[in-house]
Amino acid sequence: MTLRSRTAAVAAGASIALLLSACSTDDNGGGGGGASASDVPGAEVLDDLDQAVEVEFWHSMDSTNGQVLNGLIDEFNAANEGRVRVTGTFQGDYDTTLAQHRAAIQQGDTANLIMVYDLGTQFMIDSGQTVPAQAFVDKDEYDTGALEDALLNYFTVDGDLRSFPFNNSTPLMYINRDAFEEAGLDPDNPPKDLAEIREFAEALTITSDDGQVEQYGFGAAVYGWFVEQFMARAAVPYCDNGNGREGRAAEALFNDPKIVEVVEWWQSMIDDGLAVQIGRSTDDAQAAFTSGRAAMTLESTGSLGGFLEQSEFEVGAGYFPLVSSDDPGGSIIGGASLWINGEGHSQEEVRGSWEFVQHLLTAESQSVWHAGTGYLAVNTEGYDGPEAQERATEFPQFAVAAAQLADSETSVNTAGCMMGVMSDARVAAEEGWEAALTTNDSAEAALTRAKESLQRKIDEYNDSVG
Amino acid sequence: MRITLGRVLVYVVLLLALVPVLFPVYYVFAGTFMEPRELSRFPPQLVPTGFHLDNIQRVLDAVPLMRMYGNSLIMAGIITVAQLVTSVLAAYAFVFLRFRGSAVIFALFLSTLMVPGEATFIPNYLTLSGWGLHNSYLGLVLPFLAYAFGTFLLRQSFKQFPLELRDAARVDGMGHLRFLWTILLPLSRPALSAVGVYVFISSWNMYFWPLIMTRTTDMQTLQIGLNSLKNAEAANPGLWLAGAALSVLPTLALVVFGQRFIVRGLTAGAVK
Repeated sequence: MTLRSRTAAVAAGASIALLLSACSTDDNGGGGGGASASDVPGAEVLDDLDQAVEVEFWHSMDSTNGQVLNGLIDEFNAANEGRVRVTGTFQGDYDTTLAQHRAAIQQGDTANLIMVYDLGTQFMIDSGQTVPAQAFVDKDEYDTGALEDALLNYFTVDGDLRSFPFNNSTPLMYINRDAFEEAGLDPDNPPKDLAEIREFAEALTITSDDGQVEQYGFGAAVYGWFVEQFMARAAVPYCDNGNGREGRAAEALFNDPKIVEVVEWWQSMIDDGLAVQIGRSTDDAQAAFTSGRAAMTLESTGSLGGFLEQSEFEVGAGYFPLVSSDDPGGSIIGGASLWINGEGHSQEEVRGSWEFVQHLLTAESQSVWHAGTGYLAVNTEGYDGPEAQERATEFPQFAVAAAQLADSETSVNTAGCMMGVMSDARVAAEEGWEAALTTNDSAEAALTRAKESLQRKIDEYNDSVG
Repeated sequence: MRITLGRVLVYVVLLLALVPVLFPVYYVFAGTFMEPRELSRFPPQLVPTGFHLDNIQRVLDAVPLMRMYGNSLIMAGIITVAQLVTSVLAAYAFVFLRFRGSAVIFALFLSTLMVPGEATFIPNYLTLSGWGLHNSYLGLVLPFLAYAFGTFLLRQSFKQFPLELRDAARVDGMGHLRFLWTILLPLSRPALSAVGVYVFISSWNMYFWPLIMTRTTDMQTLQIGLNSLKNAEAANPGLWLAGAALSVLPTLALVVFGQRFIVRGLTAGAVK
């Protein structure tokens, strides 16, 4: 779903991508950015082909998720024999896939269909290689009514849907139900805001006779995505100009008083021995939770499957916490969407890609996808499918994410910030947050400094795209 | 051999030093056979309760491991053979052929070692994909067919070769290639093995180059397959450990069986 890797290879990948994209910006200035419905080929281009048109699909779905995706690809290929043949290729994590794509733009050799994570949206628009999703929707009068509002909201820019949401998730709070019961708390009513988490954590924290903490009440990673989620919960924008949707975002706003409040709260939880200090690794946070060291954690919907499998206690899920109880409680999504490349591809390929995307978005496919991976069903009718129903009966925790989204108002604040250097913004937010926890700086000072360090990158990007 | 207190102490220290070195290797294999729940226990469980093969099965289901083994083997194999050939010939020239400027050229050779590989990735990538070698075995191996480290190591080894033997061979009418093949190489086996094993392991472990040069799953190498076991949302340590265990087997075998030669070869040039 989101930026997680911290390996040197990925850092190298990012730098190669920057260099390559710097070489490539001159030859794709305008491109397919302004394509309209009349440019989109109809289904007739796929009739009477000598051989099926090949569609190359680059994605970041690995292991279990990759297998579910391959199942959907095989299904589509079988139904479209002689018309379209999709080949899916795992290209590495989201950053690497985007780096590969940037390199491919430079070579004039892009894949037909590519999975790009939320943070890459502005770059994909600026690079002008793709046919906007809206053009396909208009051409075929495709009904987006069944698609999840929060997702459409996120991927719609200037009133046009730019890409098709596919593998998306939203962060939740997970609880150790056994620990709740031992502490005399009601696991069916998990805490709803930061103050309540603290109250619960006081009851959940267990210290042995020799002063060692055996179980912390809370423990989660210092993870930039959560900053975005907390801001969506509090309905404050992440960057200026209406989250970058009314004009180009020129400034990040993550030093908002709401986030200062979150970081100060986080700090006091650690200082008072109620929360375990984890740092920025989400893998470590997951291990702290599954090992029973932390009784509550924050994680993506996509982590539920792993939690159920790896924990020796009963796992419960609740809504992501509000900062304070009177917050309006929006919810943001994360994950990736599908972009159809137009530049350098034949009408048949473009049409074939679109038909494949339609196959992925059917209620039947989404039922399989949701049940197999734990991602949200992009098509909400997917939740009624047999596979999804079966899973919901077995693990009612899976219903929480959909309920959280259904319960939240969509607004410009829950649509996420559109900014070309969004992945840098996330890293900067994490750095500020972590600096506040590990140094003597106040939360406000650390977050403001992080915001200022990001400013140069925002300016450079905005200058480079004019 | 007398057993003195000093000797006992040395062995105790060595044994203690062995623990941190061997523990990760042990735990990779122990974790491979654990169930997900055993792995997430706290305090950590060190011995699996049984031989659970689920992790291995899941790795095999998730990635086309055999095909990736094959790709890694082809890539590392070609690079190893090619580097041996180029290093042997270059080192031979530096030691046995006296020519003007050989010291300068050798210094140039060595200076290429100072350039970090990462710095050459971008130009190499642009050149090779410009030639249409993207997603091909040739593209995977081409930048690595010659490398100064092997030349350096073999030069050190050849320098210790008794010149009398070479003179005798020349008196018998042997040319350069025949001398190289029938006399020098058989006597330099430790150094050759050291270079070969070193090159094989480092190219077997290459990650970034194969990642950017390959485009389809059937061309990807094992290391990329391993990374694809790392699901972004749900950490599954059992899967990683099983994948690591499977991929480390060939190199582990190589080190265990080839160690004698590596050590001898690497120290060949060190003691004068």
